[in-house]
Amino acid sequence: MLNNLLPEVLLNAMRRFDQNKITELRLRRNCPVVMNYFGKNIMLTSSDGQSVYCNKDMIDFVVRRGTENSLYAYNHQIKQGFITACGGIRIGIAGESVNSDNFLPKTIKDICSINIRIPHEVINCSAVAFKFIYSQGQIKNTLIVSPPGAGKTTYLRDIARKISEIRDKVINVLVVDERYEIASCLNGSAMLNVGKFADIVSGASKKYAFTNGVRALRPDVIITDELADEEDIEACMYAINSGVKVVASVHGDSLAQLKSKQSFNKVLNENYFERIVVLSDKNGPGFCKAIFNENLNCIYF
Amino acid sequence: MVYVLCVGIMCVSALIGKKIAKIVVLRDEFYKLIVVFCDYLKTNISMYRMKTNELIDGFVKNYPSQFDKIFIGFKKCIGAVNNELQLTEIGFLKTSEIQEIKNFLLQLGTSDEANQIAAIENFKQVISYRTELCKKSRNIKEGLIFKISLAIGSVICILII
Repeated sequence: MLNNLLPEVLLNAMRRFDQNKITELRLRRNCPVVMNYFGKNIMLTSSDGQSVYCNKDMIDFVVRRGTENSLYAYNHQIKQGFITACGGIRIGIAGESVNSDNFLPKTIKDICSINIRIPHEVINCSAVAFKFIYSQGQIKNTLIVSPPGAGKTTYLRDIARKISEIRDKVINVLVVDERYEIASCLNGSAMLNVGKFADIVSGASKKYAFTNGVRALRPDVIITDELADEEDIEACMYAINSGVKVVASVHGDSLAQLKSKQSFNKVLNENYFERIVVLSDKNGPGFCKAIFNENLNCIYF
Repeated sequence: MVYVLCVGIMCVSALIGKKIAKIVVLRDEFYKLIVVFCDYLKTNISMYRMKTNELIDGFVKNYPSQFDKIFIGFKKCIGAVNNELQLTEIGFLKTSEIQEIKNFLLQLGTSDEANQIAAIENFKQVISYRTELCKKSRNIKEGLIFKISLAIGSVICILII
């Protein structure tokens, strides 16, 4: 998938490395290319030991290939600062925001840097937590708390897969993939495996997807990423109150930090989530640090 | 023997006449199809935001014609940097007309929806005017070229006889 996205000079430099261990590639104009390899940020070097420098043409090349030469088709993503390319690769964009009269972004121009995040499917990464998430024949409402880059999206994807593998049961899953990270749908097909019984709503707000999804698709479980604001949390509460289980993620590195967020007070105090899984990247991405129950008592450490 | 030669000459001149007249016919039909292509692009970009490769494939599928190979060739042009661009040889168009189509294809997919639609609309206006000219030219020239080539063939036959 990278062969179609990156220019030859980068592909040649990357050939010496194990592609499965590359999780990020950062291209900044007139700066050395930085790669996240084995969890560490290193400068990409060519075979002669020289750092590979990024220029404007390289960034334009990646953006053109990432949008399949169809910028208008991706403008709704570009406005939000990202492009989802084939294979589930997510390209974060930094540049000059072109705003409308009310300061809402219309597009981004003069892109000066991009962050290419390469997804890797880690089968069974959620095995430890899944024993607590699916217990007594039921999926529990679960909140995954994780710092950035600790693997929460990979975790959610694995949970979706595991739900479809439960024996003698068909549990309908609705994947609300607002930023095309969980399933990365392209032309109607999921680029990343989210199981056999998943319906995927991509690119829609959580409020829309939850409300209409619950009514029209009648899911048993909704899986979504990055609860960011009150609207997202209210959407979750609506689904849970409708009898649909929710497995969601939120940025944070501990339960204490989550408790300090005002927007989460209601869901935590009223025990909306029966399981809270805290991830850490200290022992590698996807490491399950602790699991709490609805009363915020630690049940796994 | 002479008469057989004359019949042969008349047939060849008829064929030549038809081939030359076909250029005028192809120009007219091609430009009419380009106008339809522009409308198709506009609708699918606004409604579905289909990607440029899908647009071309969809157009060829929904509007099959004798120009399918040319449209498939357009796919290679889209998004290409100038020195990569190799537009398919279109024998019945002038170099300046091919350059015009090249420029349109190069900018396809390089801007947001509103600007893209505006660019397609501008191109469509140019092509619509050209379609009118080609239609008039076809009405006059299609029959005329064939008759002239037959006349030339006849003159040659008379001279031979």
